[in-house]
Amino acid sequence: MTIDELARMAAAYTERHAHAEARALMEEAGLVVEVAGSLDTGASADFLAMLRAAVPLAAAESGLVVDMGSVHYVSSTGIGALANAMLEYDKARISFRLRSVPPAVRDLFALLGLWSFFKLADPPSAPDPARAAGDGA
Amino acid sequence: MTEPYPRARIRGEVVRVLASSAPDSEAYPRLAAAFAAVTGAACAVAYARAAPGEARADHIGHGGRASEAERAFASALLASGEAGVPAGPPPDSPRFVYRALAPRPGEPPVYAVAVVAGEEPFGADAAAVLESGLEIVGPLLASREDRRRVERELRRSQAEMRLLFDESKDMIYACNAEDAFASVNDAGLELLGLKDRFEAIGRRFSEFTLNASDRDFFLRRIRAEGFLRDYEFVVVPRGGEPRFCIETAHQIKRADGSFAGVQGIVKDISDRIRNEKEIWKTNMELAEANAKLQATQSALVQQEKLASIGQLAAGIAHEINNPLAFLKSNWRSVETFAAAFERAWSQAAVSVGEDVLRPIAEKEDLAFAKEELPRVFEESREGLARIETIVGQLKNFARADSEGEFAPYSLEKGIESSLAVAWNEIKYVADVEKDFAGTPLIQAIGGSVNQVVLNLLVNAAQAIGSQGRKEKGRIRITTKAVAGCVSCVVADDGPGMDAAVRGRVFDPFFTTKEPGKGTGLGLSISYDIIVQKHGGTFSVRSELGKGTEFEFTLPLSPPEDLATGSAAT
Repeated sequence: MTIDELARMAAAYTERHAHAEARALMEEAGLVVEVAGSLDTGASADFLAMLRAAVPLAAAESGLVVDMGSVHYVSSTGIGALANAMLEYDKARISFRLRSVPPAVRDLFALLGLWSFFKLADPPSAPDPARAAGDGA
Repeated sequence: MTEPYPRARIRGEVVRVLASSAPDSEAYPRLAAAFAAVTGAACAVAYARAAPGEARADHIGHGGRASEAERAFASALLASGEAGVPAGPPPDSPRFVYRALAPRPGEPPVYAVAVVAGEEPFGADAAAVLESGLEIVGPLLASREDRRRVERELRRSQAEMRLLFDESKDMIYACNAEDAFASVNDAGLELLGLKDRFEAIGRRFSEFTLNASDRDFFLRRIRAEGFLRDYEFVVVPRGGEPRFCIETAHQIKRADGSFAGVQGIVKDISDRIRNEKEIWKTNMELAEANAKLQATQSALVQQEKLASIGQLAAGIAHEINNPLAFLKSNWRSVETFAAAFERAWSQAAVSVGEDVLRPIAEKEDLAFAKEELPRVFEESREGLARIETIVGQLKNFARADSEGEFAPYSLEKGIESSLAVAWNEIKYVADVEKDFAGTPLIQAIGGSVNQVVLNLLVNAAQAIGSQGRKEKGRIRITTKAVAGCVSCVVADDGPGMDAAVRGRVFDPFFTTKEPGKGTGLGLSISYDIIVQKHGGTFSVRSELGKGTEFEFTLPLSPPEDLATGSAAT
């Protein structure tokens, strides 16, 4: 898997799902998958497949960052896809981090009691209340 | 004599009756009366629906001059099956006139039947009149019955829908174009945490969602697509815990096609999500526990390695210490002997004369030896002293005699010993500046603290070395005593770190060093030693291009539980 192949996979994902977009790019920080729009039941399986396909490339770089800055809706299936991806990356001992998670999406993670398990690629800022409280559930 | 058949009159009466909203009990007798007026005999009019083997006259009307007995006869005929003629061909009876109406596909045949009651058969005229009359009344009756059947079905269907709405365990609702509730069933009220419909009507749906943006997205899609299946969102009921829900909905349109609102069914799937959540959480906890286990295992191996290095160093130091002792002793003897020899030489010069000794002295270059000897002795003394210091520091670094236990510890001596161990790594890349405040003795696990200092020094040297710069860098070590603690700052003028790296330096396995140069465990182990084992603090300040400062503090005495824990191990 090369970055070009992953980028093509992301473009196909965008084409297949009317309300979802993805982009794969190499940044200074390493491999980044930017996801936007809706991460719902229809898109989640393809999204997970894309993250799985990125494993070899992420292993060669310093892991994978999933940028969620433009995501405005996530269903439980979407969260399940992220959770499964994180577990698989963990198992392969490859860094898997989320970036720019919108507050509404973060609230949902917290409600499910899963927020504290995800590692973040955001620069340290003010303490995260959801983490400080040990998730909402 | 029968009057000529007034077809128009019959037709008019039939249409009037059927167009009216008269109930069956009134309409059918009126029809029968019209027929009776024409035939001059008692008549019955029936509308019969039948399936094979089953006869049923749905409606019977009597009229005309029939006696009670004649009416009973007509009813009996209709009820007997003979009149309805459902199962077979019509009876060959002069008292019947009937017309089979074309049945609809899949439905039993329908008959409109006129019966003349009485013993006398119809006359040919009367029969013709009745047959002709039935040509009119039959289809109209059928149409009337069909309409009424549809109305009955509609009423039943509406009642069933109402029941579905009222009794459904899922929320069923309708919202207007502003997404305010127009109706909601009991299950919906329960889900929203409301007591009655008055509380719901007029409130916007998004008032009850965890994220208003989810509802906005839902509405955008409903408007665009007209229908949405299995849309997931979180309902936050009044005074209740959030509920995970899934909704299937469609848009309502006005006659002009504009958006009028939404109708939807919302199902509470919290139980399913709760189960899935538990599975995810368990898996994640397992993964986390596994990672911690691996980190702990690696840390133990690393600590074991460091401890082994320390013990090895201490062992070597001990082995060097013995020969060093007799080397120092012998060296003092050599100095004494040399002084004695010099004195003897001077005395001999006086006794036998300079001239006798000079050739010997010149041959052996004793003048040079005499001049050089003090410097040689001085350098050798210094060398021996340095060996003694290094050996002492190596022994102090490992502190094999008090490993793992809190004991009086000098931070500054510990730093010196760590410097001695790290010196070979440092001396080519950096100069070391020390600013020691003369900190008091503390209670600490000295060997472990020395490992921390060693780790910081080696990291600083490697960071400076990684820049490949021409001039040496600088490592500055500062100690001070502050409010019940001693602190140590190790600062370098190396490349520094950006925020992302700075945020992860204490993470296990995180390293920026080249492969083979670092395990990524040094700082996480150091953190554990200072914070977990000693109750101290550990922090980092760094900026890209401006160097890095690590600072740790140690309490003068460890917290009771840590001291006890250590003693117990």
